[in-house]
Amino acid sequence: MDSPTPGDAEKRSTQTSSDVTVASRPLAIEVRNLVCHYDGREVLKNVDFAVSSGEVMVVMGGSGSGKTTLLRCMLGLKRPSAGSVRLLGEDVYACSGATLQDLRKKMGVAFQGGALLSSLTLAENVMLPLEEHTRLDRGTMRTMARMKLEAVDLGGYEDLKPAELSGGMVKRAALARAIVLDPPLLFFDEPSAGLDPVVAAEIDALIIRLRDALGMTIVVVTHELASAFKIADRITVLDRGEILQSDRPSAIRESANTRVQDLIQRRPGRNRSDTDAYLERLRGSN
Amino acid sequence: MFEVTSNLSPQSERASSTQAKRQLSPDAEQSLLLKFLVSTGRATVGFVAESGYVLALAIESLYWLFFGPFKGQRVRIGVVAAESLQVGVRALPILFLLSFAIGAMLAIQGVHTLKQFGAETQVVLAIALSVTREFAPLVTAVLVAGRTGSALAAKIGTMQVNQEVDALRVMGINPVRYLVSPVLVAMLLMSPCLTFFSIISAMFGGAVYCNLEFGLGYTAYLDQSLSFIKVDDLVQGFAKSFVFAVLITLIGAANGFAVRGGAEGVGRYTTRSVVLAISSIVVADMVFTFFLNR
Repeated sequence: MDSPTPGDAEKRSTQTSSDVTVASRPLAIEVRNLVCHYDGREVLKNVDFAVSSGEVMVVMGGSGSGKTTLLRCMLGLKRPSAGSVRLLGEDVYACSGATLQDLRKKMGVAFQGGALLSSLTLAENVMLPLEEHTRLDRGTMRTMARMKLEAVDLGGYEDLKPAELSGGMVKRAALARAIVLDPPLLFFDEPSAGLDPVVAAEIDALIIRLRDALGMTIVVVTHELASAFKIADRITVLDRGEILQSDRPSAIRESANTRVQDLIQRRPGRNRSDTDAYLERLRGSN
Repeated sequence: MFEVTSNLSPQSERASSTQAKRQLSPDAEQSLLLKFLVSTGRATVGFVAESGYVLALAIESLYWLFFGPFKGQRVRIGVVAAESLQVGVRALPILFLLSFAIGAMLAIQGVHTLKQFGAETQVVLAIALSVTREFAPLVTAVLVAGRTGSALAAKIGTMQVNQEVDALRVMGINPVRYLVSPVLVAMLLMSPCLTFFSIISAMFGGAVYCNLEFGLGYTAYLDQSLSFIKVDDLVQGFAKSFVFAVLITLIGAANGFAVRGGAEGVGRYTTRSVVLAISSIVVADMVFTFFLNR
């Protein structure tokens, strides 16, 4: 069984996304030749893709494929070893502090565990970006926070602390905080992981609604296949720090790439062969 | 396959092994020396790097304190007030207990020692000066390091683990400005107040013992104490409390931001912050005392 490595054919398939409407829009996110190391280990290898305005891009891959590192690089939290990340035309790692600060106001992030500040109530958490970046009066901010919480079906929970909520509610509250400034860019890290199917479907519907109603550019990092195919305009499949394919969901579903098929068909695939090779090496060393 | 058997008794084996260790070849000795040098070098580099980080944290905290308002990122008064309540007001009961006990303990020891010279009434002088210059700032700092320093390290560490610090960054909120600067201000405001409260409590402890031991009235005790204490003594105590406040805050914050590896990491770095803070307080106190009393 030969499992293809990302070669020319796959690179060509990366460049064949043909959604003309999306392609004609300006690029909101450009990731160019991104290389990233952790403790000397190469976690991202020449990752290169772009996301058009108003597009939902899902970055999909197994555990340890480099999804979260890619997200951290895109958010300006992890400086890459090489390459560049441009958000709304600004190079995240080359722009001035003031520009980065302005850029931060134009992006919302919903982390995997919610990352709500545990010392604040839900309303205070959602109000935090407003308090920091606007000069609105407290009453207005509270009203806006309540509206965003209602948008994620958390109306009436304003005065509860994150510890008093379920995992799904925390994720939805994190989403409310991420959209409180109506940012043009939205990032999600595993939005539906660990949630029951109904809540996961609600979050998927909300992501689609945000794209359609507000024209937000959304990047979702996930390994939930059903969710990925439901919400994505385009899917980028990441494996061991490399992009295997970046294309429309229908093209990904019909991909000729064995590793992509392994992932979407949930086959052990290459991991199995690695285990076999490892065991073989152990036997050989005796 | 074969097995190696030994006819030696366990004692003989241990003895020969010890002998073998004693008779290290020059290469092995060189290797041990190299290992020692490498570990010492690593520890030194680590210490210098950490000291540099703490200094950078201090500069950044002060930067946000003074220049934050001009950049639209002020340190919020409400948070400072809440931290002051936590750092200062809530520490009063336990600080009173500790300081009272230390004052009484100094009185017991002082009376016992000075009785041999028939000068037990001079214990008031000993308590007044030692408490004002030394014990009050030290006890206050140790208590604050245990309460506030550890709480700060644990809070920031937990936030680090839960990605809350990352969330602050991506929201455009500087974590040092949001998490460290308010605590630093609260500590700088509250530490002298707590030190003053500790002085009063310790002197009260001494007064109670002196009253019970040789019937010295409380008013007479207070009059004597006030006649001994000079402004310089109070300034020395308060100056120490400022330095200790800065050390506790920065060591707590630096350890909090250094947390890696989940709950286990939070526990490890919290303990480390308390140990480092108390050690640095004692060393700084010694340096202070040396320079201020020459």
